[in-house]
Amino acid sequence: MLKYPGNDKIAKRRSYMLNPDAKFKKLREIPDEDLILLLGHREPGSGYRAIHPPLDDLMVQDDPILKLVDPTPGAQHGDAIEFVQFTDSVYHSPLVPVFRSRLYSVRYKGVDHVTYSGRQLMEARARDLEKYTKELLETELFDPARSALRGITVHGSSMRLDENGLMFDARRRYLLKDGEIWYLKNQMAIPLDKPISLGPPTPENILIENSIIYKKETIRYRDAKELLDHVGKIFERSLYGGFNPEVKHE
Amino acid sequence: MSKKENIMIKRLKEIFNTEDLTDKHTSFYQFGGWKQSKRKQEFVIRAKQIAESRGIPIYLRDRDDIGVPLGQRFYEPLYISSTETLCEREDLQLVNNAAIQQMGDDIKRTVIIGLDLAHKILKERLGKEVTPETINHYMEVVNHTMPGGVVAQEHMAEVNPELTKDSYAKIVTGNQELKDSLDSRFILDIDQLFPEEKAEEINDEIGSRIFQVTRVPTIAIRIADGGIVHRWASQQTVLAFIAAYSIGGGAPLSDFAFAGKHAQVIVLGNTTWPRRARAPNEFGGIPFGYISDICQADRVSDPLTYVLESVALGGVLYDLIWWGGYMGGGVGPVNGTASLYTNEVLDELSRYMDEWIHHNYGGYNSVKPSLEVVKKIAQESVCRVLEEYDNYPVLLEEHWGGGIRLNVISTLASITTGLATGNSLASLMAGHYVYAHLVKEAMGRNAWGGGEAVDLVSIPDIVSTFPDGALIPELRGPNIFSTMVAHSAFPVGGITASHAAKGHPWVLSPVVKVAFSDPNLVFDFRYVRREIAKGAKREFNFTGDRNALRPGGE
Repeated sequence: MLKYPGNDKIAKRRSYMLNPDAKFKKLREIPDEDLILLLGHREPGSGYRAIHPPLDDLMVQDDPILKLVDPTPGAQHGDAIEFVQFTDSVYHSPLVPVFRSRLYSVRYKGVDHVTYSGRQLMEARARDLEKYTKELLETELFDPARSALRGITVHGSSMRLDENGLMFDARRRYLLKDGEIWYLKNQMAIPLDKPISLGPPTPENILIENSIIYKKETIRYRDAKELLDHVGKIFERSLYGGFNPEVKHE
Repeated sequence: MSKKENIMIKRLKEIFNTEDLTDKHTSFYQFGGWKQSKRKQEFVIRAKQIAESRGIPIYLRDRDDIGVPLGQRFYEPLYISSTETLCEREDLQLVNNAAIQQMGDDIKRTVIIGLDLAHKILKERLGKEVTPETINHYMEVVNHTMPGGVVAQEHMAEVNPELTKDSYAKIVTGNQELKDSLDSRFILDIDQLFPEEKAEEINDEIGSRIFQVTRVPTIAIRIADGGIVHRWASQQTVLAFIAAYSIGGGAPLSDFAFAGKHAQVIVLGNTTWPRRARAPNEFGGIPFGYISDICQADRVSDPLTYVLESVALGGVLYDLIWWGGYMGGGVGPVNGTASLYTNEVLDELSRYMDEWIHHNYGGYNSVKPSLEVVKKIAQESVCRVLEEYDNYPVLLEEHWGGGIRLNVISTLASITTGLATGNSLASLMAGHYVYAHLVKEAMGRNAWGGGEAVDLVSIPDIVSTFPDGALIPELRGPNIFSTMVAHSAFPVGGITASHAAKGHPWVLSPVVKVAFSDPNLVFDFRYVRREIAKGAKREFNFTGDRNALRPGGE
């Protein structure tokens, strides 16, 4: 198991997140139909768009990669590649872009992703993407007030929060009603035929307790000595390695 | 640390119209959308007139069905740091700000030609006499040819001087005797323009060499690109020599052409590498050290102000105009560069780190550069800013994108390291370290997608002096493969700081330093931010326009 540098609670939580075998706590149930509507790539009940025939039907010549890697179900069926994008608030969204990228890399097969400062884009074969997104939405990796599905107009991660503690969204995809967050639009901000609940916001104290961000309310970055030492070592070794890779530096 | 008034806090209170900067909650969706911006309102009114007159739609901000509904959150104005100018983001957009354009134009249209080789050809090959009188005569002629006057050939068309009135040539020399005997209209007088101590060093370094600082007209680079500059200047210089010294024949002219176009020509920017191919004198080819020299704030202010002015210059020139404007495409990254020179943010943070240097090391250029020092300063810079974000959520909101944050923090680390150590390489290390690693592990987020890639590559390259790896920091620029795509403010700041800490009168070239001290330049490089502010207020008088060609023009 990966150990993130440091023994403070942020480091421990980061290690937990990056454990590919971690069983994340399920906090909400999102029916498949709702998930498909939120992603907006196909209509519920419709098939997946395909970009090639199933691998079993293809006359694949001797392909060394097939011998090394089992195809994902999406690749096996020839699904088109689709995307999901999350925006994460600086105010203790359970998962944040760089750690999304690291978590996706150790946990999900057949994905590509781009890490921005406020958002994280993941691309995968459609049925694989739906499977991964389900886990990302239903578990402790998501908080409906501080994380959000946003395929377009993604800003809001660094904004102050609204009166209800919700992250700002210029497209107003969701609102708080009767204690729950309701999505009125899909990730591309296209209105849904029916509102979809993603459940109640996580209490602030729980968000802070589970935060993976070094911050005043959690742990000050300057106090993360082991992490800073470790990061400093990476910097030093890159530098010495470039200067003279033949010399071993401690 | 001292308890001086925190101007950043004052500005944040003003622009967000709140006394409480510590609340992390606010309200949205109640500010009137795009209509909270006066500029956007003006644009909408004008767009309707234009659409009606041309019959094709333009700028449809008032339409709800086009793009994002702007203005769902408070659209805060910006103060230009070191000024009292309050403006909107639109006012700092490259196309909307004439001062920003002229800043680039005045650099791009400058080329420096050494006259010593030409004088040698005149004396040794052609047997001509070169005296202060002949040089004065030549300078009159070249100030006729440079804006488009004809000398040698009859029946030639000439240029309307109204269109090229910003074109001229002047002389730089460290030879006091020669300077005293030349016509003062043509002299960039180092003794007058620089503080006494610096003037002495600059005079000594330039010595008896004579350089012609040449400005081709702004309109020339608006028609063509930077590649026209040394060609235009050389052509008109050679013609001026022909006329002033009555030269004929093919071979001597070839020698002059060689001298004027190649042998003793200082273009400010080299040709950029093939994937970003641009002509000479485009911004991507200008080394960082020249930007530190082009900035003239050291003639009138303290070292830290000089550094901050150079950061504004470098950020706007490289990131807004060069990368954002015509390499990246699109309408340009206003916010990322504006964060370097607005709302006193970088200024206030720098003042804090300035005091930190004095507290920890005793002053500028007072600690030997080492990796430990680089790491310590970079770490303190990051922690300081992150703690300010914690204390003032509006500041984090103001720095709403990772590119904005990284731009500011890496610049802060770089200039602090430069000031503390006086070492430009150390300053670059600090900037790259922040960009590549430090902020990412704190916040779990960094800059824009893949934004730190250039820094990850640059760290192992940083001490290399292979030409395609790196160079000495002063000679690097966006033209070096492994460094600096849209991360150009921090190296300029760090390099400027390293030399400012040692009180150097120039950074890379004393001639370039003097060339931009010229009072006849349209953009005043002593006060970069003040000039940008004038542009924001639409009070900047630019050149290079074609008004003389309009119906009724003169």
